[in-house]
Amino acid sequence: MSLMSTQLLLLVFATAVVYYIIPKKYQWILLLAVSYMFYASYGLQYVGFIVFTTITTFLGGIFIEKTSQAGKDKISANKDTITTEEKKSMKAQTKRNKKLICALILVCNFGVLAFLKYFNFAVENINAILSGVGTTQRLGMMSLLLPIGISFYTFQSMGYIIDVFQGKYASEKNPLKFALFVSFFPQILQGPIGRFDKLACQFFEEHKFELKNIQFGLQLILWGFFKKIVLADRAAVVVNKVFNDYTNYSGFYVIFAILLYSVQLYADFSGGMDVVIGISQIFGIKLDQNFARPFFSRSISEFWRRWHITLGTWMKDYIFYPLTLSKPMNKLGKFSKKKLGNTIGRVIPICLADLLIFFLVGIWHGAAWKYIAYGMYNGIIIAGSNLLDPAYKLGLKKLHINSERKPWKVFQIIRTGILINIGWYFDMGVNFNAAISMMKNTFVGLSLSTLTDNSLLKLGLLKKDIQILAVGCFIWFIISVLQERKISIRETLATKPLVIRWTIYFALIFAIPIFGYIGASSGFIYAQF
Amino acid sequence: MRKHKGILLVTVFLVVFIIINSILTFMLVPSCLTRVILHELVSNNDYKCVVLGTSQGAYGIDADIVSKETGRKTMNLCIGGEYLQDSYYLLKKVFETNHPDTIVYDMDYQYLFNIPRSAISGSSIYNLYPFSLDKLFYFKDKALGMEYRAALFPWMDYRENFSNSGNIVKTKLSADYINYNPDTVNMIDNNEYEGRGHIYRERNNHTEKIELIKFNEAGVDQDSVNYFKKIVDMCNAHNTKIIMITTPVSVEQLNASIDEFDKAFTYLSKLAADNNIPYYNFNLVKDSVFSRNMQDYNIGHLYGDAAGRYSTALGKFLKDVENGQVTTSDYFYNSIRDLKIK
Repeated sequence: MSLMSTQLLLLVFATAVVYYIIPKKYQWILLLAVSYMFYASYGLQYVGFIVFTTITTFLGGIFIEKTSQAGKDKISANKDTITTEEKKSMKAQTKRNKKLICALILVCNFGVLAFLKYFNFAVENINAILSGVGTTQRLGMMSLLLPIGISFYTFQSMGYIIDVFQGKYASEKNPLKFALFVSFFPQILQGPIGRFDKLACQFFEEHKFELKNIQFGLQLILWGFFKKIVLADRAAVVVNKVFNDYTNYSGFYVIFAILLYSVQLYADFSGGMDVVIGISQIFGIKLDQNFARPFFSRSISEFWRRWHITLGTWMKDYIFYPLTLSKPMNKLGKFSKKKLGNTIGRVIPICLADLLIFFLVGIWHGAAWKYIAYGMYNGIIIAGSNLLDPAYKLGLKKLHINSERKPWKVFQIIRTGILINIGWYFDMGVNFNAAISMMKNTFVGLSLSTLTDNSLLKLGLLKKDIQILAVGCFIWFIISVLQERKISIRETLATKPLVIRWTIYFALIFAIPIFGYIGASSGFIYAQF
Repeated sequence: MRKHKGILLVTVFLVVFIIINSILTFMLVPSCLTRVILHELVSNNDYKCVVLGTSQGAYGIDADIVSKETGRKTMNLCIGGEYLQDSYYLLKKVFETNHPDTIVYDMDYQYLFNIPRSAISGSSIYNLYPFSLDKLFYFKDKALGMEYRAALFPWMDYRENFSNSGNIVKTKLSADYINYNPDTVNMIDNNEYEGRGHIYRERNNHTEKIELIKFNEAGVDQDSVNYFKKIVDMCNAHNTKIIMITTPVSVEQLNASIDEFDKAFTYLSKLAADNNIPYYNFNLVKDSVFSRNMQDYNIGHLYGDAAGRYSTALGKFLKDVENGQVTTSDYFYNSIRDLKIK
């Protein structure tokens, strides 16, 4: 049941009707039932995996809290008889026990994810090494299931267990309520990765029928479909042709394909997010934003704060901060400050953490070296920028460049855009070698005539398609500029007379089948993670 | 009060949507043969033999000739893009309106692979199927799995027709259209609708070879196989005989991929046997029964005169089957390898 299927739209419609009719206290139960029905529609064999994550994480949360409480009770029961040292030791023991439970849950769940997603990749590489050292022995690959949305629901659940371990909030006591948090149907396919403290209260509170929620939800769904069907699917034609047959293309063909990949990926992923967030809003549930106009970023690190935001914040909260604040990193910081001076020494641990984070972001995208290269490419740029920041500021000062002036900002946006587009070679290339080969080919045969002699129209799109893409992107750009200026288009629209609003809605509804790309049906890219 | 206003607005919005969508459908979707064919089916109740299948059958089988040979009134319901689930619902309509004693299923193996769910385009058969409880099930089976555009906007495939919408509307308001006159359908130059589902293709210089989908048993869509079983079950429930045939492609085409076709035909024979129905593969038809070569085909479909000869052969064969006098070795070779290119 894809996000664009008739089935899903009808499911949302029927669920919404029932949702607002039944007694409010049963609304979350309906959402849970529909979520499991939705998940099972992809294959009953997948349900076991999500149930495993739900049960282990739920029990883990309960045990962590009980352990914590038991520790506190023990201290308070013996507070008159124990020494401060004993009290400290009891606290440390409790913390160790909690850590053990938390680690067990993390290992079990990330273990399942890693095994299903990366086992064959590991075997492939071990076999390559074995072959390299001349042995004939090989490890066998396995035919493994990869449950839909496993990366998303695993990250979401593990965020919960870490939060409970850190005492950010109490564990959920109702297993069914927790099951809804893990399986909420709009977001299970491609996120956004939610947080329990933000979502739980919304899931379980009573939702009255609000026309605004329906309107805003439908607007987002339509806008998401527009981006996916009119822009992403159209751009994909050129992207697939050039990337799949990369040896036959060079120069501006490759540049054109790379630029269109930017359009495709952004329109596809953010379009999918709009649909997901829109569906949730119909039920009165507000999910986190996953994009904030990333192509207006002035640096790669800003780009990653605006692109796939929920994955970025997850990495930041659960890996980056714990890592940079860890004892070994503190020691490293002190050591490097001593050896390399305060400025460089201070950023060394941050750079290392950045590299690790982007290694993980890369491998999260898929079990292939090209994804690792993609992650490391971003990590190296960010780490390098941190290290070179003082020199960079000095350079600006010497050249009398005011970094807050518009031309400089525009330059930074363009520069960041170019760097991001270079990264796409790894992300979309058939493999690592193909990406490198395409990079080289970009500078071969850079003939300007390619741009004027209609050569680019031989890549599967008609002139009309290019025009639709250009106009569609322009509309999207204008909307993004308005959003960047904090103008809420939806709120503005809501104040307009009904006739104007409905005219716009119907124009958008019917523009999609009129201008949408018709071709081989392709799902959302991020629904494969 | 606010809640009721909201519900009212949502309802009015849906109604306006349906109205605009219906207007666009009326403006953009031209008159098509499926509508005429469905009308021919439901406005008669004396068909004794009905043929189901795809465009190969639409061009290849002349129901008038088959009727003359068999002495039983025949209707050809082979329609371009007719998947097995479409055939199933067409057959429901057949039994609702007629009492046939024989159903002939003209099976093109390629339609076991083209999973309609994966297509963006809708289906003229589904779109024109009369409103009924069956249509609701048809919707569940066919449209629910489609992308929402294909299911909700039946005019999407005709979106290039905006500039021609005036003519389409004019045609649709004409008495000819209202009376299901096939002349209101815009046909390709050398095609002519002859009635009862048969399209006559006049000869021209094209002898294009078409690429067929390669047969791969693992890729057979099990949903389609299930629909075939449901078709057989429905015939059994109505005490109606069903036989499976395959309208022939050219000998040259068969010879170009003998192994592929062998695999496909073996699979189809097994499919028929599993459902306890006879299968007659006219790809193996003897030259003495129906002689054909590449020049008799245009984009994989028989030209009208060749279709006439084939229909005569098919009609005679069906009569022999009816009379229990069929000796398959009189009609068919054992293998593609026995076929000779002329």
